[in-house]
Amino acid sequence: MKKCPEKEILMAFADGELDKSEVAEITAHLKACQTCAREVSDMSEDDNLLREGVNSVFTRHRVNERIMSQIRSNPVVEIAPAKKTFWQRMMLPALAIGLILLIAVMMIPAERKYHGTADSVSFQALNTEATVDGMNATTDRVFPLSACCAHRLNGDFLFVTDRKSPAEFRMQGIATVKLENAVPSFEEADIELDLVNGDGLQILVNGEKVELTAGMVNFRSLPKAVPASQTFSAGNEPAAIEPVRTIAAASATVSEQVASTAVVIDTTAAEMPASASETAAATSATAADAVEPVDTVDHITNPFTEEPLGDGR
Amino acid sequence: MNKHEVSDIELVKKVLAGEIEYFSELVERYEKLVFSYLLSRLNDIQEVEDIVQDTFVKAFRHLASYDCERKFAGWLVTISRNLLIDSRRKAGRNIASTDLVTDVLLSDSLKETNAHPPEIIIRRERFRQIVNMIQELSGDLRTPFLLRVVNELPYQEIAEILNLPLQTVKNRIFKARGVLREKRETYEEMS
Repeated sequence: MKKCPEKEILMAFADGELDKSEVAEITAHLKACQTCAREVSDMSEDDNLLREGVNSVFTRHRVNERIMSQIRSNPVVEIAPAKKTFWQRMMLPALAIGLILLIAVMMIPAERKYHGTADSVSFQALNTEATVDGMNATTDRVFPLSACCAHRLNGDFLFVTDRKSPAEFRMQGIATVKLENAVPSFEEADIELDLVNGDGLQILVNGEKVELTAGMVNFRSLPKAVPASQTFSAGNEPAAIEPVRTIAAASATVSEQVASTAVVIDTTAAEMPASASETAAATSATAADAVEPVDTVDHITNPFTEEPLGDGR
Repeated sequence: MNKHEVSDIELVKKVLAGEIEYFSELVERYEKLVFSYLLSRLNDIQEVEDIVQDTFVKAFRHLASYDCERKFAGWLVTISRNLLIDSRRKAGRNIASTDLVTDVLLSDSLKETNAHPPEIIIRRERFRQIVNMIQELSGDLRTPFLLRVVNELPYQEIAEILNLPLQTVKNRIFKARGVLREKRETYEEMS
């Protein structure tokens, strides 16, 4: 006779949790081993006895009629409250953690103080093709953005900032990113940014302050400084014209812009016209020409709440 | 637990669309589950009944906030657990209780048998032992064990309903059975 199976296996057998081959094996063993057969039989017998007993009590103490009569007397389903955002749900735990961290920071020696961020920023890959420091990132991993550790990102990412007005924006492209004075900073950036949630925030792109507001902002293939002689004729100083990177559609809401199309205006120094009148004409032409369809972002979900982000909330 | 023709989610949608009678089907499906969950946590059968009722009524009232990604059974057990905690906070609820679950189990389950042939007497005695032994188990062991035995749920489903890892559920059921086996052996040796 084979060695007796573990008691746990016998239990799984009695509970119908084994696969066919295991069942066949145990059944064969039980035919040959009275001890195990007794064990299984006792277990099943006790289970049956208990089940019958509880069923009998349950039958006598059912309240289904009471439930339905109470519901019929007041058949009102309450309207679901608006789902709290991730930040709203996390407010209390965050406060508690913040307090603990504060106490912890106060208790540790100064030289070991944590140089983390007061305004935390985290990012997460939106697909498995995206890489962080050359490694493929899984979409369920959230990376905190810190001042001390820059990351080289390539691909499609979602950034979430924890400020007074939380914001979420999407980055597509290549950039080295870190936190600089509590501001997300994108260096060597060849990217597109798209604010998908929140009122807007300030970021740094290639050392330049940028107000990220509604709509997509394109920083792809920014031309390097072009010698004045190649672009501007004498008397048309380029310094008089500031590149515009703050995009805010006059009337469209965030959701409309994200869900339909976004106006991309990228008036860079290289495209600056030669005169003021040409500036106006060229800016308007660039804006019109640059209207291009942008992929809808309905498929983007907030990794924390799993709610869609593309609906302008 | 979704071996039914109409899924839980479809029933929920119908109820939310105003066809409230479909809620009785959800009660039918899960009343025993909630009952046995509470039976494993309480000593007062009246309180079990009340919380079963409150659980379903609360579930109905808040049906609009039910997340269809979750198992309906798990959601009900969560509501039930919260009501149980609220109930525990109310002082003195079970102090004067006489309907202890053990007594009820022992008396109710054997009411049908007026005649007492020997096998019935043996079964009754065995049942009494089991109920007493189960009462001695900790709540953590008792709950998955009762859900398994009474509702015949697979371990995986119990894990989802109780929001526990599968291995934890297996271990707890195994431990519960181990304790019961030991007690049975002790009893058999004594007798």
